[in-house]
Amino acid sequence: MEYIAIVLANIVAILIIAPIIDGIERKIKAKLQCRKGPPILQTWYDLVKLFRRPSIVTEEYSLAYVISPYIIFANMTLALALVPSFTRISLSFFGDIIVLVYLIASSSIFLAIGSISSGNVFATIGANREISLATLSKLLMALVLATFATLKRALTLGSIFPIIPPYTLSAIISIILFAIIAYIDCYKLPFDIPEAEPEIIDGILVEYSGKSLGVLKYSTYLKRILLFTIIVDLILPRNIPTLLLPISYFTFLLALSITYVCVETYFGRLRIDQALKFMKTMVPILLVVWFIAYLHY
Amino acid sequence: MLTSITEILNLLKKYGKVEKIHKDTYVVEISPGKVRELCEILHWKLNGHFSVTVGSDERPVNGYFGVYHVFLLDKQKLSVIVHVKVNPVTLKIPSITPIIPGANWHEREAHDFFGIFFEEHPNLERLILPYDWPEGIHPLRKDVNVRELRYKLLKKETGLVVEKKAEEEYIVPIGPYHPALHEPEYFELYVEGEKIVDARYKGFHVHRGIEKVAEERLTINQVPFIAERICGICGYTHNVAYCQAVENAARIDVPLRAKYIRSILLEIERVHSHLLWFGVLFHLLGFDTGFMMTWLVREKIMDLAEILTGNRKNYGMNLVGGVRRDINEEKIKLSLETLDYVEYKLRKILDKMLKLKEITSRTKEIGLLSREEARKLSVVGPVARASGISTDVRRYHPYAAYSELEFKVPVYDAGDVYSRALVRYDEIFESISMLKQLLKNIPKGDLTAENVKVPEYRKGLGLTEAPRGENVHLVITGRENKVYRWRPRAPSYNNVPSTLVMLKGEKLADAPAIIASIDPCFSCTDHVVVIDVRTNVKQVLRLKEIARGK
Amino acid sequence: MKTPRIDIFKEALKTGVVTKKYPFEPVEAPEGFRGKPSIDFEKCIGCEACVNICPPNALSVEIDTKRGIKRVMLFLGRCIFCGRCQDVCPTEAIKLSREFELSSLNSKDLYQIVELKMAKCKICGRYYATVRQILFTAKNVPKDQRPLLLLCDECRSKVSAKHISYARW
Repeated sequence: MEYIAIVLANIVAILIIAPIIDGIERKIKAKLQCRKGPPILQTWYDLVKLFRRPSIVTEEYSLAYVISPYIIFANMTLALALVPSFTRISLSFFGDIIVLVYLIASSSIFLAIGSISSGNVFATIGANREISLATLSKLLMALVLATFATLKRALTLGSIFPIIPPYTLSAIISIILFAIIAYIDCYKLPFDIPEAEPEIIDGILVEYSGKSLGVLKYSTYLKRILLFTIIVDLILPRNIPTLLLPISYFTFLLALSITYVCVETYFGRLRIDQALKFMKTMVPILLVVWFIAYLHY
Repeated sequence: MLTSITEILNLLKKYGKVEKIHKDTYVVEISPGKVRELCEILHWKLNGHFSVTVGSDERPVNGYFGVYHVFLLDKQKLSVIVHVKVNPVTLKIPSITPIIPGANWHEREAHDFFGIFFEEHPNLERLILPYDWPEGIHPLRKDVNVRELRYKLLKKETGLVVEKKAEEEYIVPIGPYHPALHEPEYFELYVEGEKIVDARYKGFHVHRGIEKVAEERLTINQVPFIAERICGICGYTHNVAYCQAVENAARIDVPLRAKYIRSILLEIERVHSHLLWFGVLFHLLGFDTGFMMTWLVREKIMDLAEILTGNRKNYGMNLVGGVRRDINEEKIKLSLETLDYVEYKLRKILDKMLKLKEITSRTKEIGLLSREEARKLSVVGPVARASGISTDVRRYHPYAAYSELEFKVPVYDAGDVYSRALVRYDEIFESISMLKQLLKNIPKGDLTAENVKVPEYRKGLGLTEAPRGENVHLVITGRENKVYRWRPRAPSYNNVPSTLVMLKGEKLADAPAIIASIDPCFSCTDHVVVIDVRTNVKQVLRLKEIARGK
Repeated sequence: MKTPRIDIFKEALKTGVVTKKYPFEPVEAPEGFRGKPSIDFEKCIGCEACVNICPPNALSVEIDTKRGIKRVMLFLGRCIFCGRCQDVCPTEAIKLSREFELSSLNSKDLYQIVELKMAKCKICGRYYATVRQILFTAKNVPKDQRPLLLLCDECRSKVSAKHISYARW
């Protein structure tokens, strides 16, 4: 019982800090663009405002369009329960790494299906882009996680984290690659192609409004925290005292998000074919790393 | 090849009566049968370019409708206006669109507003008037009264539904409201996947009937203020063009100091307009930091304009015959300081931004416009200069104080979005150097000409180089201190049709950047096209609904 | 690695924050800014010069013939802040201020109305001009001509026509 309570408390804590982290990112981005920027709690204000509004649906919507934001949100929350964050305790079972990949991938697919069923041209184009990006990025992610699993010869997240020590070359390269893939998967520039605002008016998000838009945005923040958490877990040493863990976790999280936003600020958007080309070059590298990891044992 | 001015004049005399209306500007009055021949010679053989077609209702004066085709011969520094009298009963004259495709819109507009039929025009559909506008009412005719018209239109109820055949490709509507565009216009992009197969344009959603207001209600010195409001960015250039047209018509000599002040403000406007464009381009390419940082520099220029004129954008500095405010020593010093800062800052950042890989890879060889296409459509300004055509009103038809300045006209041959950016990049620094020359050499003297009197029924042509290209105003002065006919032609009027050529075969993701690359400025009537992708039925929103504010 | 990104980053840090928390932090317009025009009720003589010159018809005039009142109205909703009224005003009654925040929940706030008393013509008894306008004109008119100012345009031309004809005879 206690175990479940801790996991729940963990999730609640993340649910609270996810928009705040986004607020911090916005502030930093503003400073880097010579602006004052909104208050740190602005993302929370935005979400609260959206939750208060009713969702306006399109004329030709379907069930998928209505429920997919909630499914994605549930997926993300569940995925967060699988990875250790403020405490080391998480839902842990054999093969949870596969469930994690499944949850991340399915949320992308639900997002695409949901926006296609809204019947909007821009949403369809956005979904198209989302699918082509997601298939590749999820393949990459599966490959990296497979490398981790091979390195540690385990299929449980609990025994994979942290991946270093040992400081092997394949471990370090695969962490870096995971960081890059996480960056792409967060839809940070130059990869925010499915929701390119000036090109296709927010693409996949165009027909969502009010509550459902709020839920979708919330899930995006959660996804970002999830990917950051995995990176933090990969490098955070095991011997940190339990009491210090929440602080060190949060510091790492913040450091990551600041690094990412600093990089993002100085990039323009790539075209979909250019982004795909970039990602395709990562596949052979990953395969080699995986092979090395396999030999290494 | 004819080159000298006398030879050209002799040639023109063969076609009809030649009249010099003011410096370097000639009107040749010819019969409708010879229009095509002469226009072909002027545009293609003499390497001039077609600039604007102006329709005019001159029945109260001479019993005819008039059509004026304006050609600018850059090499000879001449402007030639081909005047055709149109029989008010048959209302037919030959179209020049088959020879110069760029004249398409101009002739359609004259057809909309005056009911003149252009024979053999490939597509004499409505351009500006909405689909449900009643037949036979041509708003710019002198016998049409605005008040009566309004009453008639609100009473009438006609809604036209144009049916279209189903098409295989997806239609992506860009507009009438789209975040990539700052004004209402409507592009229909037919796409296969991400590739654009075809593009169509429907504009003129916000045509405000400025000409009618000016001709009916305003006096000659009130028009500059409405002219300034034609454009939200480069209004001053319209203001100057109008004033120059009237001054030319009335043969008023503007004092040199006033000319210098006009040039200073025009160049300030160009710098801020180009910086705005860079900001928009970076924003469209997702590089918001570039957007913020170019606009940060632009803000300095805006502040400067505010100090010099009393407003950030609507300078309100011109009257026919001169300018209203002086620039004192203190302001000159301040301007020079600001310009130094702006130049230093831009050299530091803009350069670097144009070298970023995402920017170059998404603008180089995108949105190509060849020299031939550019000549055909008679594009102007940076778009033409990026396609290898050296055209610049400041150089070839000098006005204000430009004949006393040293400057280069940047020309690039690639014809892509990137070279359009480079043209503007060079122009910013050229403008800054021009501004420095102007501010340092400004002569002392009066601000306005004495004895500003405007005679009746005189024609005047006012040319300026707006940030977006050549800007032409044709004015026919009227009685009682009024304008009889005023036709402002903004540069985008000639440039917008070229986007349809540029868009074909490109990726959808690049469409906003391509559309923005001509720096479009849409000044346009009210009608909205809604296309249902499934049934492919075009519904046209009715005028009445818009009038109700729906 | 040669990358322009770092340079842009450095430049951005050097520039620092430039935006202002505008509505919560005042922004001053510079000297000579053409802002909201305001009419000095004491100085206005109701000569209508500004009404005639105003390009967007923001200034209008209304005459109450029964009570003998002339109303000069400035509607800021139409104003384009060109400052032509300021140029032509003979008494400097209308001036453009540096104020630019005009939004209001009540459209009445956008009106400035001057009510001026009018004088009756000595002959026909019609209201013809404001008292202030007559006083203002009187300054520039020789003393012997001044009584003519108390007449409306029509009566004045009749009277002066008489004078002229007398003179001719």
